[in-house]
Parts: sequence; structure tokens; C-alpha cells
Amino acid sequence: MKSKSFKRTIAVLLAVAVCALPLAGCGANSSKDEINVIAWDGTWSEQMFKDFEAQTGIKVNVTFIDDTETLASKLVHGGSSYDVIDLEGAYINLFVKYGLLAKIDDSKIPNQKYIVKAYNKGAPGDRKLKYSVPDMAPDYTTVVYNKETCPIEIHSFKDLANPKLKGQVAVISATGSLYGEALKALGCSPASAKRKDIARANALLAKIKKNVKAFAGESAASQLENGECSVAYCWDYPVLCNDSKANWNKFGYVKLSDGYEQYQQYWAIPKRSQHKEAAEKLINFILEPKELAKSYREYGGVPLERRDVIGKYLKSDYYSNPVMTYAEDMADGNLWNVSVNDKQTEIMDEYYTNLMGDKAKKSN
Amino acid sequence: MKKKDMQPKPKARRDKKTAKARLASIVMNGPITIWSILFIIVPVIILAVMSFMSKGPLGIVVYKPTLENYRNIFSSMYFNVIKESLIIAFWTTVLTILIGYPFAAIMAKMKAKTSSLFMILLMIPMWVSGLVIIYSFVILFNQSGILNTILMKIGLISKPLNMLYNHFSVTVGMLYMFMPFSVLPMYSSIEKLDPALIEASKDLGAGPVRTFFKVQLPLTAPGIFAAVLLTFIPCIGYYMVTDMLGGGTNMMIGNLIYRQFTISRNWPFGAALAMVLAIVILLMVWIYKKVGGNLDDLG
Repeated sequence: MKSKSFKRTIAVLLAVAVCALPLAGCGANSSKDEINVIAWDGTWSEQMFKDFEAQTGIKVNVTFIDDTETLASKLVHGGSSYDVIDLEGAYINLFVKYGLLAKIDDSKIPNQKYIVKAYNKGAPGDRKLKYSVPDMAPDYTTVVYNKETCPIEIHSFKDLANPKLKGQVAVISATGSLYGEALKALGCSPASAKRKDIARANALLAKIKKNVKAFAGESAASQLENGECSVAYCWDYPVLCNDSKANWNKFGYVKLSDGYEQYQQYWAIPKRSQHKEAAEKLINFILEPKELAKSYREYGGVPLERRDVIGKYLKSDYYSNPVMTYAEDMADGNLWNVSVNDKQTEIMDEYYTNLMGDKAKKSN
Repeated sequence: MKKKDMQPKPKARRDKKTAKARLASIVMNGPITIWSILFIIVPVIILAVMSFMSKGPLGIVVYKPTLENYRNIFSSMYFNVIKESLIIAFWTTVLTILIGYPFAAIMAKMKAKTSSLFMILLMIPMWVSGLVIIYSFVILFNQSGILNTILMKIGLISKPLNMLYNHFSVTVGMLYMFMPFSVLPMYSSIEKLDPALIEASKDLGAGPVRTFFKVQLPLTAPGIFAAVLLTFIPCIGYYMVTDMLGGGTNMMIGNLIYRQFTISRNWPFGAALAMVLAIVILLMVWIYKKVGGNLDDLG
């Protein structure tokens, strides 16, 4: 009898355990020796995080993302506790405005001194870098083209509407960059939230759409590399140069006469973080030239830090990549960068849905 | 007195059995019930409630009730997106049925061993991530891809064929992804069909075409209907193929919902769109049941 009731109790307990098991990891904050990080995919060496763990004993849980919207959703709705986030400059103003970021103690991040002076600049909303620390060199959204197959010479964003490019254009699906560039090409402010201005930008994008073969999501590199498209509006010139040396002479970039978007990524600490000290320790560790070099060795890119401090940790021919001259050349131009604003996003999204949903405007 | 004394015994035994049965039922069904409540019913309720709320700054959900989200769905731009998704789902379903039915019929006539082999081949796409399959089509179809390289090397073409980011690649991708959902229920229905009925039809003078339309097709109709539902329903919200093989030049309802939860940061509107999609799907399942369909056939 005893045995039967024991079995029953065990059975009920097991049933409860089965139900509770998947919930075990939910909602729990990380312990004192554990920090949660959100970082961009394909940018950071996992070895670097492992080395931080080995050196400090602090466990690092990294969630890799490929768009800032995912990060915003996780922070605003997720209820999860993140300690270090890899934030797009355009969002910093909004995050600071709504009190989502904690102030960073500069004295805890002495390795900031290694950052190239021109790159150590704050984004709109945090020009003095009180809430953020640059984590990569600035990059640019512009027109990249195949030197062998592109049929026309491109100077302006409007040139993408040239009928000679029919079925040869790829564009990234980033609404802010697309409408921002179209607004700039029409002489408006890329930050404009005026319906009239965005309607004009939409009309230009509708013309360009007739030539578009692929809206390429986050990257148009594969469409250019596999020969499907000869021109792309994207941020992929560094990706192409890092992918293969054969691409160095194959692809070129355009310093758009209308101006082009400059963007930069920053480390930031959410206000809700309960491990600010460990978070600052990690940011400082990543800025250690030896550690930062691990990511460049793996993924390439323009080093954020001065050549005299980071150069010795990179391959001898690292600086012969055309991306280095690209970074210098593009930094001197008609640049624009705007912070995300809800009203503009709402109107742009409405027009974008119309643009993409209208079969009459379909290109292929 | 004796009879009276004896009466409560079976009752007590019955009670005991009922308690045992109840406990067994709790142990057996408890976890799945709790799981369903927590991970299906509660999220759907949250989604339904959220669909009547408003959007705040930075995409925060503001608990201020409104019908605006549902009203917006019927504006022409969103309606166009829904229409396009329905058209693609419709044609995919039609094509998978037209190609899948003869395939299922051939499989049903094969020897057990051979049909099992074909069944495994058919199931392979379901074992592999959809993303991997779609990427493999990109590698296969692109201008410097496997097909173009082979065709050019053997001299059949002088310049690469345009096989990616058009209707061809979307059709191939959709057919490949949804064919198993279509063939399996039809195969099950055709296999159960009594061959004597086909024989009887032939004996009574009906030709193969008449036998097919008057006997086989009506008797396997539940399988076809199940195939229609199993293909059409996932197709409506599926946007990976149109995005990656079609070039994403047109927005599907899946894209639209995804955008509301990410780029647009409008969760209440995204929830409203998801609810409408769920209602359309439930309506279709209800119609299926009403016309005599068996829900077990849907998996």
C-alpha cells in the first residue's frame, strides 16, 4: 500500500517536474558572476569572450543579433536582463531619451585611449559619450558596383532609376537608410517626418524598384558576388573586400554626390543591468588591442584602434586591404546620420508597405 | 439485509477505480495540458488582448483599448499584401495537388518496399531546415551557380540563364517545400481505396477517365481536401521562399507581421494581423470539419 502511494507521489512529482523543467530558465536574472551580452552577429570573436571568462571568472552569455530592432524588442518587451548591448548609433538618442541606458564611468574604461581620435565620437543624443563607447570604426551605406558588368556610371542615388539598370539592382531592406538616402537625393533632410517629403522619396524609390532584382535584407554581398546584380545600395563594400582578394579590383564604391549615410556601433549598458561593474570590465577588456584584434583577424574590418597599438596583432598585409583607403576616402564627404524617430518610422513604414504591396510596381 | 450489506462494496470499488483512473488521467494528460495552457492558450490570449491595445514610443504597448488596429487591416495597402499572399498560397496549393496526386497514386500502387523508399525521399525536406533548403536553391540557380556552370560547360548555353529572383525560382521553391504536406494525406486516402471498386467500375464498362472522375476522385476527396488545408494554411504566412528566391520584391502577410514586431515596432498591429490570420485558418478548418473531414487526417 505504502509502495503504491509512493509510486503515485513520484508520478505526480515527475509530471510537475516535466512541466516545470522548460520554465526553469525563464525570468531568472543572471548571478553576480554572470553577464548577458547582446552583440552583432559576424563581428565579434567568440574566443575573445571565452578569454574574458578565463581571465575574470565572469561567465558571459552572448546573444547574437543581426538587426537593432531585435535588440530593441528584447530590451523593451523581453523583460530579460542584459548587461552589455551592441547598439546602432541611430538608436542612441531614443534609448537615452527614454532612460534605457546607464551612464558609463570613463575611469573604468581606460582602454578607450587606444581608439582612433576621429572614431571616438558620440552618436546623436550622446555626443559626449556619456552613455556609450564606440565599438567599431564608422561605416557607410552607399552604392557598390561591379566594375566589369555595371552598364552606367553612377554619381547620384537617382541614377539607380536609370532604365539601363533594369533587373540589375539589389538594395538592402533597411527602411531608414533607403528613405533617408532618397530624401537626401531630393534635397530634403534625411530626418524629415513630413508626409509630403516622404511621399516624394517613396515616388523615387518606386522608380528605382522597377530596376530592383532583389531586396536583400541585411546584406547584398551575395547578390553582387554571385553575379545576379551588378549594382547594390548597401553597406557591404568592406564585406566584399574581406571575403576575397579577387573582389578588390572587381568591385567599386560610389561617393554619392547627394551625400551618404555614415553609421557607427557603440557599446552601452542598459539601466536595468545589475552588473554594471562587470559590464564595464568587459567593455574595457574588448578594447584591449590584443583582444580586439581577435575579432578583426576573424571577420576583418577597419580597426577601431590606432595602428601603432593594434597593428602588431594583425597580419602584416592587413592594412593593404582597400577597405582602409575606403574608410579614409568616405570619411571625407557629404555625410548624414540621423537618429531613429517614431513618427518618421511610422510614416515610412506605411509608404514602404504600399511600395512593396503594390503588384503594379513589381519589377520582375 | 444481506443484499443491502453487499451493495456498497461494488460502489466502493467503483469509486476506487474512478480515483485511480483520475490519477492516471492527471499523470498522463496533466503535463501536456499545462504545457498547452502555458505555451499555446496563454500566448494566444495575450496576442488577442494586445491586438486591441495602442502603440507607444519605442514600440512600447500602451494599454489603451482601441479598434484602430483591426480597422487599419482593411486599408487598401494592407489588403493588397493579404491578397498577394492568398494568390501565392492558392497557386502553390493548386500546383502541389495537381503534381502530388499522380505521384501519390503511383506510390500507392508500388510494392511496400519501394513505396517506403519514396516516402523517405519525400520526407527528407521535412527533416532539413527550410532555410538550408532555400539556400541550396540559391546556390543551384544563381548566375554563377551549379546549374548555369554545368549548362555552360557542356555548351548548351553561352550566357547564364536567369533562374533566380523570379516566378520560376519561387514556384520551384514553394513546390519543393510544400509537396510532402500535399502528397502524404492524398497517399493515405488513395492507399485505403478498395481496388475492388475500381475493378467493379471497369467491369460495368467505365473507361479509365470515367472511373477516375466518378469513382477514385470522389472517394479520395477527403485526402485532397486535407492536402489543400495542409498546403494552403502554412503557405499563407510563409515568406522565406518569396524573400530569398523571389528577391523580396513583394511583401507577404508573413513579412508584414514580422515587420510590425521588428522594424515598425508596432506590436498591437502585428498582433491584430496575426489574429486575423489565425481566424481565417480556423474558419478553413471548421469548414473542412463541417463537410465531413477528419481532423486526424490533418495531423
